Amino acid sequence: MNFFEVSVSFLSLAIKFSTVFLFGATGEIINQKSGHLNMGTPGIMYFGALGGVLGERIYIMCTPATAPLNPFLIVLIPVLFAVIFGAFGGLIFSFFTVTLHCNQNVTGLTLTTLGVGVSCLFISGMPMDRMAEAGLQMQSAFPDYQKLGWFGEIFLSQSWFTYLGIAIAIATAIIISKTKVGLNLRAVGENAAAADSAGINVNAYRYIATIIGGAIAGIGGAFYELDKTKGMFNIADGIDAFGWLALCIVIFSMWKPLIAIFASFGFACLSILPSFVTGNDYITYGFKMLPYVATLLVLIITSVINSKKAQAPASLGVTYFREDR
Amino acid sequence: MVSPPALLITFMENIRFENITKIFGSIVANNNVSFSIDTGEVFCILGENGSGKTTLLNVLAGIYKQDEGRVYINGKEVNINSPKDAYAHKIGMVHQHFKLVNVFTAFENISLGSKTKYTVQQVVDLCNKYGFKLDPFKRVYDMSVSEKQTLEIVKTLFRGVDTLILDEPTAVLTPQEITHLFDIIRNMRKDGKTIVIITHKLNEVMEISDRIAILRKGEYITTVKTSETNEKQLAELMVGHKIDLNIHRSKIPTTGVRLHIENLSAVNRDGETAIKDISFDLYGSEILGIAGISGSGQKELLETIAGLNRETNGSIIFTNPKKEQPVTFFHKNIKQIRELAAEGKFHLKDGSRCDLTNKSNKEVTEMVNNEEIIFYEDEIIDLKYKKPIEIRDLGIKLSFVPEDRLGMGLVGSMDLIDNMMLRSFRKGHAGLLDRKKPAALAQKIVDELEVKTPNIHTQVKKLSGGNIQKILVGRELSSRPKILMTAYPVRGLDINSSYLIYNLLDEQKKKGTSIIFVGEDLDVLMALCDRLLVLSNGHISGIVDPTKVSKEEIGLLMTRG
Repeated sequence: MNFFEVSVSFLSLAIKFSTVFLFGATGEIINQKSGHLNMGTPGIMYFGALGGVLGERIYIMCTPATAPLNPFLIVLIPVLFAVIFGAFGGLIFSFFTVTLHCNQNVTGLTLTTLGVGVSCLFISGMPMDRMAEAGLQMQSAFPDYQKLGWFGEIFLSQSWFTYLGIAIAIATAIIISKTKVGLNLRAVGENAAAADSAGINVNAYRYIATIIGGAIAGIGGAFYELDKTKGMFNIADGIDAFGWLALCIVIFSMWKPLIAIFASFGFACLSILPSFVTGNDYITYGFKMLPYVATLLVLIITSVINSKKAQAPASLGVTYFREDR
Repeated sequence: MVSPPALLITFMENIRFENITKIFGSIVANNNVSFSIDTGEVFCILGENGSGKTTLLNVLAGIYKQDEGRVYINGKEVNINSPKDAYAHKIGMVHQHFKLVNVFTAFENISLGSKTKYTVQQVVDLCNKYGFKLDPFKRVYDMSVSEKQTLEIVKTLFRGVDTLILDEPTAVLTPQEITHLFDIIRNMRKDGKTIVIITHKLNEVMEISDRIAILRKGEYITTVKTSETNEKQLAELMVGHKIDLNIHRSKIPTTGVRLHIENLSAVNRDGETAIKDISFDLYGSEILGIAGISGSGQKELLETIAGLNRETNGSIIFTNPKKEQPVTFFHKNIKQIRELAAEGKFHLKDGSRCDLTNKSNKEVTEMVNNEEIIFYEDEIIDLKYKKPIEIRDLGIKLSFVPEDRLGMGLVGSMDLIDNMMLRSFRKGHAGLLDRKKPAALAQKIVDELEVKTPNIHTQVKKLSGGNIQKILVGRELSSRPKILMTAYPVRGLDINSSYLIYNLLDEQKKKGTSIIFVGEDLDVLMALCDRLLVLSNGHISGIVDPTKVSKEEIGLLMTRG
């Protein structure tokens, strides 16, 4: 392979990777805009992965062993399960922080531990026959992309999950910045007491935002897990790594889903770089550190810039209880 | 024909509280409160801090739910569970801590959460109608406190409220802004609105209200007509016994310059310039008041003098009144004493030259302990290169009382003795703590300042705000400071304790201490201080003699530039 071909396959793979980041980051942005610092996102993405695998397994079990699998249903059913499982993760988080007034950090970290543990336990015990099918069916959204040369290879070879992820990010951006619901959501995240006194149901907004965010993050987890059987993601360590970096992308993109699209791509590039360089372990592991080094740089840069407009939602991480004194 | 007057009264009545009780944990915030507010009047709820004024009105605004009792509006019992319900009954509240979204514009804040869509023109029209000055496109974080308050009121009026509750609306305003606010309140009353004002300021109550309800320790005392009462009577109703409302300002000559500050600039924690080009002298035996809108650099100025802020320009020169005083080990070690002796700063008790070069450490120690080595002149010390702890040891005490009273001065989870020891833990023998002296000091403060505490082993956080304040101020005064800096020392205190603190400061002044007093109540500042330094936006807009200027002139200085 010459350099050009390597570059094309690198960029193509980076976009694929960025999809997982983007789902996680979009979900987390919706969470954080409501004032929920949901550190359970890595766990919620694992929940989504479990939902995806479980959905596929159930569909396979309901189909006779000899009958062909419906290419549409074998993707749709896992996605629906992932949405439900991810939403459930968001529901757990909201229940603890909104209804029980628990500390958001503790709840989030616990949720991550729970999600990773439970999902790994069940996924590893799952029979794997015919499970590669979903991964195969969701490969390319546009079958004839090769006709367009490198452009098609990079931009049109992707799974429809990728285009869905971008569409969701754009839709989220529009809803947050242009609609009344978005204004109310931002108010809840900025100053819950102000929103409350303006007659906005803070608890409802936080519940719904967290559940929707969880559902979106869950799709990301499922995409990763279903595609993994094709052997594409063997260089990453686990979904939780994606989840943590998604949290960082949220900061990097200054809580703007449109920037998150590009930030996800950047972090994806850094994540897959190790598999494109040859050398001893030191070099490989050195490159593997890049996303985390970038995270630190992001934090330094954002703290130096310290602009009033690019700040985290002011009530981020603050549990709201009206009768607090 | 008995009914018409009765009918008239029921028609006039707007809101009625009946046996409202609200309990937080073990604290009874409101106990069996019953009274009524009429339509179209300016009604003041008067009471000291902690008397349950805000809690009661929060029940009406849907923030709190009462544990017992009923609320009636226009004679009908209502159930208000949220601010939304309150709006449905045309009741809106402007809280003391504004409920605004900082990154939103004024217009966005106004339209937040409302079902109907407003236009900017409607906002402008409403502002013109009542005389508000508001830029609908300004973001809240760029607004002054007064603008934020205006926005809060406009926001509430836009919800079509008939009853507007204002919680301590004048606490953060300059005299001019207060006058403007009162004009607006009168305009609103003309328009038929009912305005309920929560306050503890007697002069403002007299100026603006029609009727006054007085609360004391969570209980309703009485309602009086403003036209039939006076400040003295109100104060007595508020406190429950006769009180003396005079602040003493002892007239004594000042001694020399204690602190010389020149071109001092400093940044705050966010890296923004907080104070710039501050220059003033502080004399012995004087109280220098610092007036200004909150956030004008008061906190940073005090912190900079105390050495807590490192990023500064300019000089802070402290003159330690040591002339003809014996040197001590209090802030000098043996090496420094030898160096100063070599420079010829000392003479011996008998007037002869002080030469320590041939003396052993033991001999020098003995001489110092016998107070044989005497300073020729006052010590001139540049504070800029001193650590906070060295500055403290020089006798420059910061009794900073931030909004969070426990934050900078006391540790809530420790008892009174341990909190005394925060200032003396370095004293003791062979690494063991001496607890006897702090215990005696704690007991002395409790006795002298009438601190209400079960005993000196009680955790500080379990005491009420006023008592915590007394401990903090008492501890700082006990160390015989040369310069005492104190900010908002009476915030949250009842009238009695406030006057106790004022008198303590005056006593301290008589003993020769220089006092910097940052206050928020202009009346108090003008009555207590010898000179008044007005800060505006981080620089000095004037240093005035409070006996020679009016409140309005100071107000103008507060907002200049």
